[in-house]
Amino acid sequence: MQTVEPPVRTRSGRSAAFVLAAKDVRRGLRSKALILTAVVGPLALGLIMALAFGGTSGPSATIAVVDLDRTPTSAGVISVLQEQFRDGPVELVTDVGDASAAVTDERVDAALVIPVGYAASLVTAPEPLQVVRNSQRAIPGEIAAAIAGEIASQSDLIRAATSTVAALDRDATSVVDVAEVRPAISVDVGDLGRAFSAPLYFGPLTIFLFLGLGGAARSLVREDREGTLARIRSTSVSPRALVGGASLGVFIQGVLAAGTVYLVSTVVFRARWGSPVEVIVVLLALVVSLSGLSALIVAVSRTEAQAEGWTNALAFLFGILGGAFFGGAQFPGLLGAVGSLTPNAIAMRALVELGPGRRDLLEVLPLLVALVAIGVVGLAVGSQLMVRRLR
Amino acid sequence: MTTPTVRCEGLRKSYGDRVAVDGVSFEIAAGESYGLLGPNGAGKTTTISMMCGLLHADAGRIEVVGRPMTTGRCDAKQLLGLVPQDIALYPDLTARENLVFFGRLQGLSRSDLRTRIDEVLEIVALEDRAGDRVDGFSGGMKRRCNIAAALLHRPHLLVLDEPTVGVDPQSRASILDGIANLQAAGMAVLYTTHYMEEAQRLCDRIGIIDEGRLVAEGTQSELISAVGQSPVVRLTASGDLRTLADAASLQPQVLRASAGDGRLEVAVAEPARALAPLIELAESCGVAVAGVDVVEPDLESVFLHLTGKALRD
Ligand SMILES: Nc1ncnc2c1ncn2[C@@H]1O[C@H](COP(=O)(O)OP(=O)(O)O)[C@@H](O)[C@H]1O
Ligand SMILES: [Mg+2]
Repeated sequence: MQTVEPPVRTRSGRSAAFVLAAKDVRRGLRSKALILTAVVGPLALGLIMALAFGGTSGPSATIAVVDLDRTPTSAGVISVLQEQFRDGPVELVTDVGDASAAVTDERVDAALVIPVGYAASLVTAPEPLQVVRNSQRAIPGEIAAAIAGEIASQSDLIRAATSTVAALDRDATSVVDVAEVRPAISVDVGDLGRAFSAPLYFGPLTIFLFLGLGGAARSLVREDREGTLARIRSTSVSPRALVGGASLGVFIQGVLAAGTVYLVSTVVFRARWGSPVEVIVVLLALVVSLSGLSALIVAVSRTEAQAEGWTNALAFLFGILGGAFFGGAQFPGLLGAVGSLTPNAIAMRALVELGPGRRDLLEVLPLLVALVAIGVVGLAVGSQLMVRRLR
Repeated sequence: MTTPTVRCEGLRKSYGDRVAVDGVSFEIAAGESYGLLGPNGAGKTTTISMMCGLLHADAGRIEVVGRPMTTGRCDAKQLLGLVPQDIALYPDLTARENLVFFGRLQGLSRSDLRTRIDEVLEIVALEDRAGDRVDGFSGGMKRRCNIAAALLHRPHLLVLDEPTVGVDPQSRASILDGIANLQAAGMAVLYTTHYMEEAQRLCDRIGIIDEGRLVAEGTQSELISAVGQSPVVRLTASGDLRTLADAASLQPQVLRASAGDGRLEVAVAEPARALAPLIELAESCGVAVAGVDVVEPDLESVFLHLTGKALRD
């Protein structure tokens, strides 16, 4: 006769969730589905676009230089720049009239303005060149800003050249020895190309990751069909731990995929994403939002095929409206406004605004909060529905 | 009186208009093996799903060693080991990885698991395949691994849902032997099948289920005698079988006799005592007997008698 008193084991719901998540991650890595979709996809597309944007030397862009100072010094700066970019991927134009109008009309991608009094300011506090950007053309905007920064950092040299001329008892503002200034203003466009290529990888990542995590999030429904859910449910696992474990598994897989794209594009393709801490925060916020959306999609779909259909449709819609490709180009007008609400557009904006030497995390906090909010709401509603379904 | 290992009372489940299980009640004592025998669609899997807390019952109560079964987290679940009808294993994981996962879910510690996995793999004779992926297994090996995963936590009751479907004869024999060994070691077993030989061989008691209802329950001999089935002596013979049948039915120990083409079937209470007089009678009627069979009544005939249909279609 067997003992009647059953051996009751204690195992917390949390540890069950970890066991479930670990299994999903292991299977996800082994199937390579997520790696192919969310890692290889963005890396390949990003690399192709990085190459298309002007070979290995960097992206091509048309940048206007508008001289409001109209002094020999400003003319000298312009001729140095023209010399510098003569055969480069960046085309400099000077005859555009009003800088803002040229950028708005999209005759040029960005503009540099040499302000009135520039030459005079060199003697005391050098005025920086102003940059006119188009929000849709992030990369040329960054190039123009980098050129302005380069010139500002060389203003000592420009002033030195100017005062040397003055010491020779000539009019200080009449002539700048172009030959002397030229070596000072060296902007490495190839470097710039890499510096701002992160959006080329990040854009596709936002969409491919959504597709990949959508697949990962369907694990519970898939297991229901394949029969393993029956065995899991015959053990003493609460529906809450079950759904929690599945969501955790999706999140971990998202972090692994996004992290791999970040690392490989940085190390192998030498893309520069900006400060690692900021990039990691943006990537985490993106993964949270896409995991939550995926959980919601699975929960509101009646079948696995339906969930897959929803994910595919939304990924397309997000990609087109939110501008995930070609460095984040978006529609103008209403479509663009709608598109800017997609998680991929929000994440892209956060990444670009954080871009090299621009805003800091605190300034893009609203964008990050929006991403996390999308994820948390999706996860909360999705989990609730899923737990109810499993009860 | 000891608490039964399982007590189900008035289980009921409908899918829309279709009543899948219609008031099923049964008990399984500690160490007992109980068979649920019924054709496809009878409601076996639905009954088991409710019993194991996978499915909400529309009505009824389930207790495992006195503890109520629910679809959520509950103590009752730790006392059951379910072997689902469909293979419930991850094909892309190895046998050991599968067992580690399900063992961890059952609350076994890593160190417990290491020894326990070796034990259950030995029970199902898969020791040498532990490191192989399940998708490389034959149908029979998958079935055996499917059973192993239910044994890890040493359940009081092993619930097997048609564990031999689609399995080659050799694997089937090994599965049945394995279950018999577990039974001998004192584990209670609930075994569903539509193969009456398996129920006959393994089960102390059998419940016959059809269209969601338990139509009869008892030991094999109880079931057979309850429906009044008797052994049949079958003569293969040539001659005037009709006259022989008439003559035979007048004999005292004969219950019924009927003639078919080249065959005479005679229902008797005790075949051993009826045989010699029957052959004598055949000779006196000028019938040449070529062969004699004694057909003992089985669950197949019980099922036919109770439901008017064959167990297998
Ligand atoms: N999920 C379901 N939805 C609708 N009908 C079902 C479902 N599961 C089982 N049934 C029906 O319930 C009846 C009993 O099925 P089941 O318990 O699987 O029988 P068995 O296991 O004895 O073959 C069948 O008529 C089957 O078609
Ligand atoms: Mg069944």
